[in-house]
Amino acid sequence: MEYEYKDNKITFDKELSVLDKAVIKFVKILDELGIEYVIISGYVAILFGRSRATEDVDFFIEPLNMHKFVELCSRIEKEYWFLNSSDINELFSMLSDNLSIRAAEKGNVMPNYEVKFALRQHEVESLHQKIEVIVNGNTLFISCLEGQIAYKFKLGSEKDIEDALHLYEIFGKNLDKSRLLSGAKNLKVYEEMIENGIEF
Amino acid sequence: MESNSENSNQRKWFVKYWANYMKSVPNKEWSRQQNIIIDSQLKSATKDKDMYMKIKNMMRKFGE
Repeated sequence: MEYEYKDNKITFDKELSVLDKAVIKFVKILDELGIEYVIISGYVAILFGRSRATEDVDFFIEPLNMHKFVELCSRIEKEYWFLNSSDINELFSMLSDNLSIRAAEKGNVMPNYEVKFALRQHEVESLHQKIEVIVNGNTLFISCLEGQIAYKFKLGSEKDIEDALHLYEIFGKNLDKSRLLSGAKNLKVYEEMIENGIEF
Repeated sequence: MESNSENSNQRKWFVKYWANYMKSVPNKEWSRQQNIIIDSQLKSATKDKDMYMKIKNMMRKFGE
């Protein structure tokens, strides 16, 4: 894969998929409103070429107050609908309880954007350790790759481990091995990662 | 019959094969092939919101 990885920024071009275009469009809303976000999980691997599809794209966003959340909902509801509930108070309550809410373009359910407030320590860290990705001139923020790889091992399904291996294969030489090791130890997945050929 | 472990190893082998393939061709080529999978899934996706959430909740209940 042709890319440049420098100063916490990955720049590359590719043929954008329908999913990529949809994510770029959704992220523009968060950017317009100045809401800090990070994309995590499966879409990160897919963005960098993993040969699988997904139905949802996971986001952590900074916790919002009700006023800002209403502003976000008003903007989202111009083109999207919420899948969990149409009641703003209920949606806000779900987010405050560390649950996720899902939005998709009106009339569709896929792809959908699964959004959570970054409340727990690892979620806040993901937000703070984000990486900037410039794909075909569009900016996206994703979680740090080393943390992503370790977390995928923690999740432990076949699909998750394959996502982790894909990121490791693509970015191997650019990964910070000490950060990878730290993630492995914190999440107690060191043995599993070694067994799968991850080198620290 | 193929064992789960053999199947899992084959899948991991393919992940590495595909990543190496991606390194050997221009981005435009691997992404064109990847998009066939992604775009076809979205094209055939359900549009039934209630059914989708029912399935998601069931999957969550049984640990996906």
